[in-house]
Parts: sequence; C-alpha cells; structure tokens
Amino acid sequence: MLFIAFGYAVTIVTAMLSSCCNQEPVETNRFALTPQQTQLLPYQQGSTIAFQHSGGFGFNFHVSSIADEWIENRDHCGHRCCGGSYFSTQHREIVLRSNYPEIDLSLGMHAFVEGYAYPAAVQLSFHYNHRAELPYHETDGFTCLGNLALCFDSLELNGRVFYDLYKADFGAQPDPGNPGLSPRSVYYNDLGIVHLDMTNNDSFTLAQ
Amino acid sequence: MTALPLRNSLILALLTVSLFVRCGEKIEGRFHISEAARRYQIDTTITAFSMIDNNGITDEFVLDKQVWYATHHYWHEWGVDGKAWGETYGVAYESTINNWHFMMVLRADVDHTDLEIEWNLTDRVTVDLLSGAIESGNARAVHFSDSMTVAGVTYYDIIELDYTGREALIGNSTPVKTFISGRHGLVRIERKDGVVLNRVP
Repeated sequence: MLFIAFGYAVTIVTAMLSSCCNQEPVETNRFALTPQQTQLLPYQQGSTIAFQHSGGFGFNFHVSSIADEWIENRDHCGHRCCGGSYFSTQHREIVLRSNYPEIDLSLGMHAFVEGYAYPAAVQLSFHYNHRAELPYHETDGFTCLGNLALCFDSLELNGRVFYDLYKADFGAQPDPGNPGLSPRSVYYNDLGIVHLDMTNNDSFTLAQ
Repeated sequence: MTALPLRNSLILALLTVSLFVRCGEKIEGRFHISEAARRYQIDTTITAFSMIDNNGITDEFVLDKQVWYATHHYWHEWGVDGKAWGETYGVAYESTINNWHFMMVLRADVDHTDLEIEWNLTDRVTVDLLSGAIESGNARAVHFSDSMTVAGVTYYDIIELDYTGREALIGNSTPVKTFISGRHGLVRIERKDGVVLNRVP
C-alpha cells in the first residue's frame, strides 16, 4: 500500500515539474527605428505647434509625450510557451494635444522588418477613433501609393503654400450608421502634420 | 462573573437583529419614472446634432450606441429575487472634435425620480426631481425653466446645470454651465475658458 502511494506521489511530482518552464526566451535580433525613419516624426517633447481653424481661430498643439518601447515578436506557441526565441522592434508614439478645441493626435511608427506584420507607415490617429496611414519607403521617405497616399509638389491650404506634401485619407468611421462629422484626410510633409480636413469642410492648418 | 457579560451580549445581539428586521422591510414592486420627469426623456430618434462655438468651430454629438444605454429605456432590478424593479431612462453622447462624453439618466426611486447628469465620466451630479435638491456632486445649482431660445430656436423644458463658483472642482472639459432641453438634449454649453457652444438648428 505504501509502495503504491509512493508511486502516485512520484508521478504527481514528476508531472508538476514537467509542466514548469524555467527557460528564458532568447532575443535573436533587435530592430531599431533608423534615423531616416525617426525624421518622419519631426516633433520634440514639450514643443508647441501653432494651428489655425479654417474660421480663423488660432490655437496650439503641445507635444505631450514621446514614448519609445520595444515590442517582443514571438512565433505563436499556443498556451504552453516555454523558452523559444523572439526579435524586438522599436515602436515610437508621439501625442499632440490641444486645450481647445480638445484634440488628441497620435503618431506611431514601428521599426520596419521585411516580411513582418507592421507596415512601413506612419500611423496617425484622431482621438484614437479615426486612423490614417502614411506609407513610407524604408530609406527614401514617404511614398505615393495610388489611393493610399497622394503626393503634391505644392498646395495652398488655408492661405499658405506648402511643398512636398503627402495626403492620406482616414479610414471608415467607427459607426458606419452615422455618416456625420469626422476627419477626412491629413496632409503631411517634413514639418509633420500641416493640415487636417474634416467632412464638414472645416479644417485645421499649421500656422505661420 | 462571566454570566452577566454573556447575557448582555445576547440582549444586545437580539436588539440588533430586531432593529434590522424592523428597518429592512422588503421593497417589492415596479417603480416608475414620475410623470413630471418624463418631459426630460430625450428623444433618441435624434441620433446626432451639431453645436457651433463662438469661434466658428463645429462639433457633432453622436448618440452613444456602443457602450451605455443601447436600449435607453429599461427596468433595473433592485436586489436579486426579481421582486423589485426601477424604471431607468438614459442617453449618452460622444462628440467628434472634442471627444467629450455627456450622459443623462432618469432613475425611478420608491417615492421620487432622480436625475443624473455626467460629463466626461468624471463630473456627475444627482438631483431629486421631486424636491429639486442636489443629492450628490459639486454643482452649485440645478435650475428648471419652461423654455430657452438658442440661435433663433425655442427649446422647452430646460434644465440648467450650474457649476459657477465651483470651477476648481470640475475638470477643464466640463462646462461651467450646461443647458439641456427635455426633448432635444444639449442646447448650450459655457466653458471655463469663455468658449460657448450653441445648438445648430
């Protein structure tokens, strides 16, 4: 009887130990944002950017945060992951915030890894509800990709001429049943966001 | 020596139990929003409306259909035995440009109806609609009037939520004054920074 109990105990302990994982995952590579990529987000922590509404009202965006994080990218391993390997990609997110109108704009960028999920694009969101993407080439900066992004040598916006502009449209609204007010498109160049165009034809433009 | 404290404890316990039995009369039934309060049931067929500020910037408020009050009008159970229910009517809106959140709820109580107004998930005030008394929140006053004209349109059954003098107690996104029409919802907002938004007809 004692022998059987001992056998059970050994079996249980062995099973418990075999279900434990004491292997640390191994990082195999790190992909940082390149200087060319970070130049596509031309904002400095704490700086102020003057904007003007199409009706004439002037206001400021403040760069409220610039956050870098390293994201671990693993292969899918079900519910019993143990050890294994991963590679890291740098992600930067910049948040611009204005006191009134109370607009939050966020710009995000992942380090580009050929063949991996993150697109080579600056991801821009308006209050995290409406999103647009500005595709870029790994080394050559922003690119024109048919309907995804249009390029302009120069364009007059709210009475000011801007050069080398890229335009991207915001995606579908969160509520398709409401075709009301939402951001329609964003215009961008080496100054960052220069113009936001709304569906009611209001707009917000970088001021002098 | 120990008998006396034991007996006292038993008496105290019996008194406590009897007190709870007397105070805890069971509430049963269905309690309705009062007829007087029904005038503040905002029309949920108005799913979006615009407001324009004194700088010419337009914002749009959209009826929130995803988070709260997808049904707007429902019976809320009190307790768990299915015998006591209170009628509730709530609406919530999100604004597109400023990302504001506005919520207004009518809640039936046993002998009155409560009105709850909340801005941006933080500043909430509850008013007893029978007595007009503010039950909770930092508002200085809540006024009720028959009508108000905004941008040439007369709205009826007006609620005015007033935080004047208590600006430090509310968030910067919460208006100092909020005017609500019983049927149409928000008609005018006055902010701390002097910005005023009026309902677009």
